[in-house]
Amino acid sequence: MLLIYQQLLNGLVVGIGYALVGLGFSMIFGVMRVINFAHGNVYMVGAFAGLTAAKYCGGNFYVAIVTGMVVGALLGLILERLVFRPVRHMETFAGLLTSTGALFALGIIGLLIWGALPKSYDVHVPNISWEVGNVTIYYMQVFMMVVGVLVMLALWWIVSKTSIGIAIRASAHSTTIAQLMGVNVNRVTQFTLAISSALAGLAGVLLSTYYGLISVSVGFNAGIKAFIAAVIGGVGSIFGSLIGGILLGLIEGIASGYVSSGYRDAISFFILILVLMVRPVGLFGQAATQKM
Amino acid sequence: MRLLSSIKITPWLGKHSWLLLILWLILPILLRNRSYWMHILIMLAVYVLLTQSLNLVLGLAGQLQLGHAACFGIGAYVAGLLMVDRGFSFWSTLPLAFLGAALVGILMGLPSLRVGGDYLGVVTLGFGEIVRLLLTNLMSITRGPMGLLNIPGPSIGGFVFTSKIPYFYLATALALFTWFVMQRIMNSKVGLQLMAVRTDEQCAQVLGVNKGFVKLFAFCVSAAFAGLGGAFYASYFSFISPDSFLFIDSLIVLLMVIVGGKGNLIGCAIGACILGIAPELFRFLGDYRMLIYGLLLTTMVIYKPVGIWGLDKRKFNTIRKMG
Repeated sequence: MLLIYQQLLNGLVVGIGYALVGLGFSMIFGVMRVINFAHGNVYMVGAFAGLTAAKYCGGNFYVAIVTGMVVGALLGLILERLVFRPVRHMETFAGLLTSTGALFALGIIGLLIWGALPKSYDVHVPNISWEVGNVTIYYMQVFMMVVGVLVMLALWWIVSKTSIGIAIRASAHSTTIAQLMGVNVNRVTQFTLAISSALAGLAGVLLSTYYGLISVSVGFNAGIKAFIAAVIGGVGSIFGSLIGGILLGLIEGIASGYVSSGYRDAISFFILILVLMVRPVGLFGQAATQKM
Repeated sequence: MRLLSSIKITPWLGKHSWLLLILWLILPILLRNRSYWMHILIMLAVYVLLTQSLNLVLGLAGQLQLGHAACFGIGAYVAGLLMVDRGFSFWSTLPLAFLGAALVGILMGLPSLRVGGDYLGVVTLGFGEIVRLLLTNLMSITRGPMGLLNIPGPSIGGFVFTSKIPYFYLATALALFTWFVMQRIMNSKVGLQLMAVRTDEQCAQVLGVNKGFVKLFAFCVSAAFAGLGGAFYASYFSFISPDSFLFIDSLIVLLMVIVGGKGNLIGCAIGACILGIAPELFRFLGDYRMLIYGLLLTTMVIYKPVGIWGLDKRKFNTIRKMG
């Protein structure tokens, strides 16, 4: 029973990582009504790029973060141009299929560059820890929580206060009307993809540092986890993604601690199906149902 | 395709499609039982079966189904476990695999009553993953990731299937049976109702289509036939493990349907043949093959969403004169 607080803390930290990926997912869906399957592999490529860059800088953690975000954003721009823009006016699941193609392509590119074997994620993080009661809190965990909250606040500020944010919200409401009002929707989708993919890259570096391990196959799973986090919180809601990611992390922490780690993923899928069946809008979503 | 139609070979083949069937049936003789090519032909027949059954959900009902491999896997495991643990014969497990997969299909289809579009794709994907994780973790029943070994082959009377030739004809028979049933469903009332639901759900409901029933019907029948294929697969390979039924396998079948032409049974068979043979021809490319799959999927959806032989080539149902 003493372990439960530690489990909860670990779940919380991993959950913030999920929330960062899920947030990008949620934004892309909000603006383009497309499920971006390739998002998970953007996470993977961002994390690997960060690792490679850090290697040349003596394992500097912050270099890894910046590289991960920049590479993620660039990938997002490429995906927007090649994969999403051509299918914007097509039937509902065209975007999902094209992005699945991109998922494969990115996965193979990752495999060819970095190889199939798992690698240890060698970046230097200050090895400081604090004892609070029975719980040990590491510097990395505090760092992730702070970054998570800061990113959420920054994003909230962008979406609600800046002009590009207003354009994003207008396009999310209706692309056609936004275009009629003079919004450059291509610019909006580029911006959305770049921001969300940069977040995926950031989450990739953070979570891989936290786990200490990375392999090419993590992308698919990360994408699915992000999707579940976004659905639990309510697709299209920034705050919802944060809560959804944290809830998912907590549930997984408890499930792998008390049920069986083999069933951990099955439980998160089960929760996904349950949420979609019972409350498809998620906890904080509003308009996601009309599209179903 | 333009070249083919310019020399008028496709209309001619359309009228004499039985020639293709005969060619297919004598292929084992032409190939003189070369084991490698026989194996590819058998897998092609299985792929044709899978695309035909997936097409019912994806092409006709317009519901995104990303867990088809799970239905296939359930059929394989039902058949394999009954044969190994309970000593059933192959023929008696066929209907049971059919029913088992049909049940899973109904479960998989239930979310389609509430969610649609992309969401349904992710739900079925999740469902497929749950099935795979259960197969992996229920060690006491399924033997877990080590898989199920020594599944016996079918036999008729005293004749036990050992060489690839009887397997070839069995697979062909199953695929043709599936094709026939799907053809009948497409031209039936339910088939028309499914197409109405795909085009416009609300409009279909207004016209009196029971949306929930036809969707569940599509999921159920599609899964059941995949289960039939799974039972064949189990006894043909005599070994199955949860790793034989991954998300990627669902995606490959989906890709076959999309490349071939969703909604058109001939198109599905063409897609299955092209994408079934291509990996063998491009074996030297190794890992790049998946890259090609990915690029192919993306370019097909962008530039030719109807597929090579899609719905536009289909002869629509004509009203026959009564009596």
